[in-house]
Amino acid sequence: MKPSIFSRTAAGAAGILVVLVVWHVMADRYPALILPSPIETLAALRGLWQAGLLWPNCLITLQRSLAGFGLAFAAGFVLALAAKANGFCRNLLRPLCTTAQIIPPVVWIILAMIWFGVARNATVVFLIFIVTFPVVFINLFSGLSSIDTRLVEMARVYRFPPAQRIIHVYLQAILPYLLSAASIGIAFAWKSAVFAEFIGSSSGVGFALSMAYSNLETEKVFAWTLVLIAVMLIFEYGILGTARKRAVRWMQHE
Amino acid sequence: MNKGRHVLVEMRNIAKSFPAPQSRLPVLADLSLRIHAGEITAVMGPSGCGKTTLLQITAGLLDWDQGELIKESGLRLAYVFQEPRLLPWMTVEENIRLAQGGFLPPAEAEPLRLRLLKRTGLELYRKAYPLQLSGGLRQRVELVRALAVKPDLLLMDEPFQAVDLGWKEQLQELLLEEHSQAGFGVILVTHNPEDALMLADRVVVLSDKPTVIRKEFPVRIPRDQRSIRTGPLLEQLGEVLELVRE
Repeated sequence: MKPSIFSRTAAGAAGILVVLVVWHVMADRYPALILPSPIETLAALRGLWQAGLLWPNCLITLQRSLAGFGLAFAAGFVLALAAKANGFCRNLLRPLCTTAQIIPPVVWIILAMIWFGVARNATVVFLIFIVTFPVVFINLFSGLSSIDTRLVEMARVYRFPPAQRIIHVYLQAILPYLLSAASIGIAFAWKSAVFAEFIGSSSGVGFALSMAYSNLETEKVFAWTLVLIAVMLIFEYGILGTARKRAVRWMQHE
Repeated sequence: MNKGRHVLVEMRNIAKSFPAPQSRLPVLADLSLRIHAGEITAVMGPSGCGKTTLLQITAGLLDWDQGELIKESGLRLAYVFQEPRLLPWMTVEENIRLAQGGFLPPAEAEPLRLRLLKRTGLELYRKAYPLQLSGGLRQRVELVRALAVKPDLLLMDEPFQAVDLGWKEQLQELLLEEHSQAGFGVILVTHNPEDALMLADRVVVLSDKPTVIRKEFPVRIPRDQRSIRTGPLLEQLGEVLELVRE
């Protein structure tokens, strides 16, 4: 039997509670420099908020993530369409995507700093783009390949106007893939942004993390980590979760 | 509206082959056929002889290799596919409304749609999604969608195969009623000689591959006297069965 929403939520909450208890017990045995307690972490978080550091840094990292992801999504979508329509494009793009995925992000960040300079927005956005693009491209290409040609034929017979064909046949068919690309892509973008800011930036959550690390303020490292998790959870469950539920309503009573 | 006997579609010496591992597999060898307005043409023949191919060529979904296909300009087509092709993310009514959108203004489309949904027992399922329906119900929606666009030519590929017996009779009755009112042409592909004789004005029997028309004959029994239990239909049924089995 499928577990109810209540029992699933209860299980999730129990898991988090166990982690908090273990964290608290372990923190009692070590100094705050090594492992700050949950209470010390929350105090550090409140300190960041009161110092006015929390929101501006989050906003910068979010802006960069969305810029890099937006570029990767747009490029991924256009090139996936080209690859679907043209065999030459397909053969050209696939090995390039695979190669881009194989190269470790640290190589890209070094190159980005050489090309665009340290502490530049372009450095961060470039890393996000290069890490996120292959994921988006592969997902969207799979989505386009999954379109049922029998439905396309039906739309031709009934002379659906082009706009309706795009909205009701093509986009609906690839919607699960679009959402999956958005979910994986945004998570990649967020992580890459923090990594790029940690290595080569003077602002954003990644930079704040590197400052906390340099100053041996471990409780701030934990506080920023909580912020990073919270932002992704809001995005994944709040925004994408709702969109996903709406998108697959028609599958629910199969 | 296409009342009368003018030609809707004319196929002249159509040939069609498909790629095969060694060479090409000829399916239609030389097919010439005229489809008139107001006429129901049943197409029968052995499995794989190209009956669906013939419908797809007529619908513009397949190219052919040789020959000529002449269609009346502005011909409004509807197609009852063998396996229902409904958009799974749209409800029953949305599927029908979307198909109507290209052909009819909303003021005309809505009452027609509702009447057909009621007539086919689908009124309760208006807001259901196709995946919630049985195969037979989906096939009914497929038929309603086709009739709801007020076609000039209705292409039907084994339309009653998945439908249960009780509904089959009612759907055939509905088809004949709509046909007698609107006077559209029909190409009905079927394996079932009884369906062909109950519905068609003319039966075309195809040969095995490479396919040609083996025989073409009119159904002699007047429509109002067609019943599967009466002598004339049983008599012609015997002839058709013999032809198909040959």
